[in-house]
Amino acid sequence: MTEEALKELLYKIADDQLILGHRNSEWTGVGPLLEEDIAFSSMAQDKVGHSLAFYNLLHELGEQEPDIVAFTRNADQFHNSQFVELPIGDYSFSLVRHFLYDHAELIRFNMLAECPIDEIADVAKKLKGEIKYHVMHANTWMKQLGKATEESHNKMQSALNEALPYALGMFETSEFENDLIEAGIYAGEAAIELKWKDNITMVLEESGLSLPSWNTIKPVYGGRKGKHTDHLQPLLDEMTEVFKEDPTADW
Amino acid sequence: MYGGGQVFESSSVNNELLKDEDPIKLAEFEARIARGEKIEPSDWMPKLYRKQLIRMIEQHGHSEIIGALPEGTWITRAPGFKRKLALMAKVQDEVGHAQLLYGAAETLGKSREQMIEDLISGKSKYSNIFNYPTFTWADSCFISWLVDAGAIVNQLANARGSYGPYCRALDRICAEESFHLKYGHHCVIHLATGTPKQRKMMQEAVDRWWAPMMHFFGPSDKISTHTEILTKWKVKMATNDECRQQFLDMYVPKIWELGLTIPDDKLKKNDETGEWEFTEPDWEEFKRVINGDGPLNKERLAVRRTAEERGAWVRRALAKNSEDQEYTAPLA
Amino acid sequence: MSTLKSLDPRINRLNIPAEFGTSFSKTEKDQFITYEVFVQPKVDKPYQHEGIVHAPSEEMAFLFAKEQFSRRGISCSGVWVINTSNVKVSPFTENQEDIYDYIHQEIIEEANLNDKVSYEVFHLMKRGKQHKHEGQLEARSYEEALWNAKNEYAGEKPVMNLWIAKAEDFLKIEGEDFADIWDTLPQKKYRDAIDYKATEKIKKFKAEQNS
Repeated sequence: MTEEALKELLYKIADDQLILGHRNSEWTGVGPLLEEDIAFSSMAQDKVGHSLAFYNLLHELGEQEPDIVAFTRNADQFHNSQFVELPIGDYSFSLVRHFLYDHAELIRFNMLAECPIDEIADVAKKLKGEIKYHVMHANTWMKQLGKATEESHNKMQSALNEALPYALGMFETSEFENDLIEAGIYAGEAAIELKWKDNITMVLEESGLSLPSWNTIKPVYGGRKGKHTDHLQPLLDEMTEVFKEDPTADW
Repeated sequence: MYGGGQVFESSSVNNELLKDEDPIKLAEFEARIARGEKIEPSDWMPKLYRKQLIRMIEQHGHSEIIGALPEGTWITRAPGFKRKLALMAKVQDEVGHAQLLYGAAETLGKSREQMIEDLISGKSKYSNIFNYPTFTWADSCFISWLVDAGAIVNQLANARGSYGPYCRALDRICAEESFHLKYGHHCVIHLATGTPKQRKMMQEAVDRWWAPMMHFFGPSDKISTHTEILTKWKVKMATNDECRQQFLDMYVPKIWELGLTIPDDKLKKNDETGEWEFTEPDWEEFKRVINGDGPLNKERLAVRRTAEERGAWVRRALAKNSEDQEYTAPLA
Repeated sequence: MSTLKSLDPRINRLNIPAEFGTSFSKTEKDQFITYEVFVQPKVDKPYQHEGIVHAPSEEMAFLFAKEQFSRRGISCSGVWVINTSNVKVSPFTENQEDIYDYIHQEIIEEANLNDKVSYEVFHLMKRGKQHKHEGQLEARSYEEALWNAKNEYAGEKPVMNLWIAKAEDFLKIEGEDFADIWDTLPQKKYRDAIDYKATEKIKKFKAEQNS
């Protein structure tokens, strides 16, 4: 396995976390109820914190400082899935995305916790507990809203239908996939996807939400290779607006 | 974050409320406060005490939830990881403070949703300063440091008040505010000692925010029977002037040491009296803004209302899941 | 219809109407019940009351309580939540009197006795402070639990107020299965004042100004 392969893996994880954390932070102060506003903000902070941990791993591998990496690249240099860059939408969409993303994240972190590279395994082990809470949070909300009222059921179902093709885009494979699997870094995207489908199916069933047959859903790929929706570049322009006024200044 | 300038009701209404209280119970109540003991929710209390406390705590809660908006303006633009994480946490804290304060007010018998309704409909007030815009990153730094510093002066005073649940909420809030204060100071120091562009940005923010900051503590208190009784009952713990003086004493030197200029020629400490002298703030402007005509009153309430309306389906669904359960006011 | 133009890009994306035609009034009530929240900062410390959350269920109450009441600190080892209605509250005492002095044996003589279950007992030692967990005991009714509490926990220091609730009415998130959800608390320094030191920068700045 080359270092390039490893970096590619770390970048896609970090970029997903940063962009999703950034998106979810948009709810802080305008959430649907005070307690949830607080909980959702904490998880957004966790996500940004996780990305920082992975950018630090990349820095140890010779990449630039996390601030430079996060705040100076353009959209086509980002490896995040298109899923995480979509606007926050209605709260139903943000919740469904959180549910679909964090289930995948938990599986990924469980795998990375067994990674032969100690630095990566340590980060995964350390942060796993936070994702465990995120998944508890997501599952409870799905079960609460999936069958509470006709209104909430319909909103959650349509958010789910909208999200699924993009969610499958999380598992877009890289050219280094087999190298990483052979080196035992993790079991690969296909393995995560398989387990993810099992896990979310169980919760969705309990929530009274229906899952279309998987072969009818066309995954939206491209994000991992730098191909993004029109939403990412404006997000980055906004995120870096102050920083770019003087990237060498100490803010 | 909350300053002075609470809107209390006129004395005639108050006297009416006080008239038919049981003198023996009232004497016991006042004796407990005089001994320095806290009042707890199930204790007997005068109707006027309950009413004014609800009003004060509620206004404080509203100031927190609306106070999340001006700094929230910069959440998605904070420069660098450290600032990004801190600002998210800071604004989150403000929402958390609103949650704590509404909970304290609920122990007095007003429901949270009623308070929120009164906020959005314009019936109850919040701190005036949040009706001003944050044009640049430096504006948000000014708020984090100095508006929070002002709030701490006020909140530390109130934390010595007589109502147990409010004091407990304030203890927690003040502990979190110490992070806000240090974070805000840290941000301002970096701008003020940074590049010429950063310095300029910071100075402009000070220029914009100084007047609202002086308004923050409210006009001089008029001594009336009404404030006397609220002071005696330890509802109002410090006068607006005392808070303003304390703030100036603690923070003007810290602003000056960063080479920043405060836009008031008359601002200086009188060595003889030990009091700060300053240009009298424009109280007409203060009144105008508090009555709804500030730069952003409309936006602040529109945003809060939108959050409430768009989140309604979520709360409706959760309420459906718990419809068989009966609400009990919080215990403490 | 025109939308509100804000300095906050987040707000602009919400497409808020510039004008609201009607005044705000809620047509239906949407407030849920409250849960009392108790937090244990460390395994060997007692659970302490921290406040309330509004929630539709105890699972949700826990999710909210965790972030509202245990997102800071060096450590946390557990959170308990309980529907406020399920907590029995004693009267408050005056003037340093002990609430246990008001609990007499008659209290159990008239009580209806059920099967023995566990109760959690909380003490308030000073007005204005928080209720702290004193212990768990078994009893056949709330009245018997009060009487047993007097026998077990009454001491030299007067107790101002008592809370008693059935252990089964709590949702308790604690122990090994959940320890990891608070693992990273000490690393979240960005939430703490201590992480923002800049005195060196000020000193340097002042020195430059003076030179």
